[in-house]
This record gives sequence, structure tokens and C-alpha cells, in this order.
Amino acid sequence: MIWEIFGISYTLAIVLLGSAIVGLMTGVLSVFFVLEKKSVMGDTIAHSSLPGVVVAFLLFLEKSQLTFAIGALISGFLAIIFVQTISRRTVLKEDVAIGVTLSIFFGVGVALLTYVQSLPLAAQAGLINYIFGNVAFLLKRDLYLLAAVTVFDLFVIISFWKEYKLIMFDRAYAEIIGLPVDKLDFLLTIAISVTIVVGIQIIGVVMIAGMLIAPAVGARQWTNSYRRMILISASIGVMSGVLGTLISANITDIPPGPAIIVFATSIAFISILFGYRHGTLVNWVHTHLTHRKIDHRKVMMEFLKSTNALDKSEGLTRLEFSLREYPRLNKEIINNLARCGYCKWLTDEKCAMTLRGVEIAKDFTVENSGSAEMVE
Amino acid sequence: MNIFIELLLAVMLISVVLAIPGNYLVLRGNTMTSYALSHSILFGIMIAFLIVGDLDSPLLLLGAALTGLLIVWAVENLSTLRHVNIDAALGLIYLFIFALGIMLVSLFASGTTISVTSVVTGNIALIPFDRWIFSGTDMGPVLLWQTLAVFVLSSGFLFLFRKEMKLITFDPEFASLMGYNPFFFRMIFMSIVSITVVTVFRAAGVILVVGLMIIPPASARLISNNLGTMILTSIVISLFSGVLGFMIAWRLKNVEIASMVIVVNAIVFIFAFFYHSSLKNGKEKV
Repeated sequence: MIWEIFGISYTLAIVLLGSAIVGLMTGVLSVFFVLEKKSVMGDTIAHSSLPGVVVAFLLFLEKSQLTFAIGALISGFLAIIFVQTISRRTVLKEDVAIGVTLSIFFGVGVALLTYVQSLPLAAQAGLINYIFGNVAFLLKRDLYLLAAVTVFDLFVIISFWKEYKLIMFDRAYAEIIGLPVDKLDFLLTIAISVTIVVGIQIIGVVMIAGMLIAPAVGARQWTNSYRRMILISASIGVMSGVLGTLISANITDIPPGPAIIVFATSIAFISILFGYRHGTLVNWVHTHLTHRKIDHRKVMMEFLKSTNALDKSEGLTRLEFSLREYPRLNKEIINNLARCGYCKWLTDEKCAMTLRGVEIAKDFTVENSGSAEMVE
Repeated sequence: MNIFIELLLAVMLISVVLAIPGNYLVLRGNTMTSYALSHSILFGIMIAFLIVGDLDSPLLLLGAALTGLLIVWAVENLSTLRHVNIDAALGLIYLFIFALGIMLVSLFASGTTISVTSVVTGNIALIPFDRWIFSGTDMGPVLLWQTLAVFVLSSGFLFLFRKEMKLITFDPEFASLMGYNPFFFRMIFMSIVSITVVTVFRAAGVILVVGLMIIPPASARLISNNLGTMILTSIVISLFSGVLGFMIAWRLKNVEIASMVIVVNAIVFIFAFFYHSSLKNGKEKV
């Protein structure tokens, strides 16, 4: 079989496939989360799915992915309704509503979980793994559920590709042209919740929120295109899923959730620093270059003001180096201009503009003022 | 003192010491910052533990409090970047630090009282086993005294600077016009919050700590309109939920105490919510 080529066992192959699928789905959906600025919602749904999982277990007394997913889905939705009711109908701010809901649901979940653990049931073992995730229990039949959810998610995103693109970038316009924005939002929420509840088995209720933020934040730094952002985000998701699971499979003490999140967030931080489009480093270099360009233009225009001292015979103007009132203008800028042949040092404190420099500076003035009269 | 009384006292003290600063968090609306803070202290504790090699060293407290402040600072800075909004920045940072902390715990904390599970669920029942022996006499559980010290520190600060805190909470711009430095006060306040969280997190767990901190003040806010009344109400609610939750958990024997306290708090909150909405509807009719 194909996994034998890579020297990994059948179990590990299943687990890697599972975490790659979860990484892919969370990566794709995180784009919508981050662009919609709803990242806290992920925290809420994920943390609130814990009581649902435990209640589903108490009702059926067996560890079945499907019933757990349904239980988690119901309690996640209850939590969203809770948050909306509190923030709409009371004086409490939305942030407080989220904090209160999250801790109430998680508290109830922990209370139920610790109660279940005390019951004399063999099946309850490993339920605690839903907090940080576990890969040891992933079976082949769990992959079918994952595959079904993937198909559903991809169907939703691809069939409403244009609609969601419009909603993400101009919600008001989408509403005006008559798109059913609320219904589409609801569909997306369902897709996200379903993904969260199948993902918690591997990543855990605490950490999965990170998978709904990190890949998209990372991807945003590399591109401005919606399609590319989704592709990059999905790759970041798959990459962190696979790497994290490998770490967790080799060092048995480490649960997969934290390992996956460390990878995903690290990739996001690296992207924030070095991203090609919006990374801090690129931004810094760009800002620096722009400032330098503006500084050069300022000096040139300052020269131009003193063209009455034009010395025709040498083709040079004269300007005392007394630009102290402009903090950024210094000898370095004059040196740069001199290198381009726009001006020339006469003494340490004096410099002069060449005729070519005057032409260039006139162009700047035209650009800046929009009228040629000022040059004359 | 027997174990029952000691645990009851500890639960009451922990509830109150968390609820008091929680009032200001609820009013400012930055409860998620405290959420990020409580998750990140684990990393600080583990780093300090790896350096010192002792889980009871006061340096751990310092390490954790410093990490907490670093997180608050980092969240504020990262969110000034374009293309990263504040929610995403908060989530990224706290989950990164928390995941690192959990990895450190699972690698190096075996054989100590900290475990991956206890970090999340807490373990109040362990409190009476760690005793403070002062010159031969048994003074009771260490954590009780530590929490008492934190209580004195935090309520002392909030009482002495009650005017400043009120001003900064409700109108930070006006406060800075008056010559107070909101940033300075906020940092001190956040340090107090992180010291409090660090002290009690082993009893209540990093997630439930936030619940104990903000649910009683949120309920109190729903039934009062004045800062003084709100703080008093939140203290009463937290004491009530603490005692009742502890009693139920004691009876049921196997349910984690902190989570039971949260369950009672949730019920109180729901009652407060209905009271609040009936009040609002009543006013609208008149």
C-alpha cells in the first residue's frame, strides 16, 4: 500500500489523512471567519461543544462520532443564541456576553465530564481527550464522516463562490442587489459548526478555535486575491495538521491539538513578519522607500525655489545647506541626489543643482500642483 | 479545622477575590483580554519552573504575572497592524502561548501537581494537602493564606484608587485630560488581575477562572446601576454560588468543585437576565 512507501503504519496513515482533511477544511473556512471579523465566534462554538459531547455520551452510553457531532452542534448553536440574546437584550457588551457564555458552557461541560468520569463505565475512558484532542482513537469509519463533511463544505463554498465573495467584501451592496445574505450567512455558520464538531476529535475543543484564525491570518499577509487566499490558507491548514500530528505521534506525551496549533500560529506569525503583500517587513521597507522618495522630492523643490541664483555659465544653482527646519533632510539625501547627477557639492555646507536637476524638479512641481504656471 | 471547613473557606475566598476585579473587566468590556491572560500564565509558570526547578517558588508567580502583562501588551500592539484585527490577534497570541504551555506541561510536569487535565478543570480538592507550617505549628492550607494576601492587595488597591479606577473605567479620555495616566493604571490593574489568576488557577483551572471572574459581576450589572452596588452585589452572588456550588459538589463527591460553582453562577445569571428584561419591559410600558 501507498503508506508503506513512506514507512508509516496503517494507523498513522489514517490519522494523518484525518488531520490533513481537518486542516484543509478549517483552513478554507477560516478565511470567511477572519474576513468577517468573527474569530471570537469560533472560540464560542468550540468551547461550547463540550457539554453537547458529554450529554450525547450520557444519552447513548457509547463513543460514536455521529452522536457526538450532533450533540456538539446543538450546544454550539445554543451558545450562539445565548450570546446574541444577551448582547441584544441587556446592557452587557458583546465581549462580556461571549465571555459569560463561553465560561458557562465550558463550566457545565467540565461538571458533566468529571461526573461521567466517576461512573463505573468502561466506555467513558478517553472522553477527556476531547479537551485537547487525540489521534489514537481515530478509526477508518470516522474518516467517512470527515469525508462527508468535507464534501458538504466544499459544495457550499464552490456553489456560492461569487455570492460569498461579494458578501465578504461589500455586504451592504450584496444586500442591496437582493442576495439572501442572512440565509447565506446561516449556511456558512452551519458549515463552520459542522467542521468544528468533527475537528474537535483530533484538535480538541480548546485549540480548534486557533485553526479558524491562524491559517487565514497567515494567508492574508501573502495575497490580495480571494481565491489565492483560500488556497494558501488551506495549504497552511493541511501543513500544520500533518506536522502537528507527526509530532504528537512521535512524542506520545504531547496531545495533537497544541502541537497543530503551535505550527499554525507560528506560520501565521512568520507570515505577519515576512508576508509578501502585507508582512511587517515588506511594509516597513515599502514605507521607508516611499519616505525617501518624498524626502528627495522635497529637497529638489527647495532647490527650485532658489533658482534666482542660477549661475548660467556653469549650469549650476547655489543653495546653502541650511535645511535644518526639515528634520528628515540631511547630507545623506543630498549625497543620493548628487549620485544621480541632480546636484553637486560645492563646499561642506553648500550645494548646487544641475540643469538636469532643475528639469526634474520642475516636473515634480507640475505633478504636485497640477498647474504649469507655478514653475514659470 | 477539618477539611470541609477549609475547602469551604477556600472556595468562598477564591470566589470573592476573583469577582471583585471582574467588575471593572465587565464594565470596560474587555473580558476576552482576561481570557487571553489566564491562558498564557501557564507558559510563564512552566518556564519559571524549568529554571527554578521548584513548583512552590514565588518566582513562578513573578514569571506568570510577567507573561500575563506581556500578552496584554502584545495583543494591543499586534492589533495595530493592518490586516490583523484585534479579535484575531488575541486568538493567535493566546492560543500560541497556551499551546506552548500545554506542550511544556505534557513534557516536563509529570510527577508534579500540575497536569494537562488539572490545568483545564482545576482541582480545588487538593488545597488542604499543601499546608503552611510556621515554626512548628500548622497554620492551615498555603493557598488560603496566599489568596488572603492577594485579596488584601487587590481590594486595597481598588479601594485606595476607587475614584481613579471609576474615572478610567467609564471615561478614559476624560481621565487623561484630568492628568491621570490611564495606561499606567490599566497596567497596574492588569498586573493585579494576573497575580490573582496565577494564585488561584491551580484550584480552578485556566478557563473556569475567567467564569468565576466575570459571571458574578455580569449578573450584578444586570440588577444594579451603580458601581458600588454592583461590586457589593457581585460579592454576594459569588459567595452564594460558591457556598451552594461547593455543597452540591461535596454531596455528589466526584464533580469538580469549580465547575459546580460555575453551574450555580450560570443559574443566578439566568435569573438576573429575566429580572433585567422584565424591568426593561415594565419601563417601556410606562
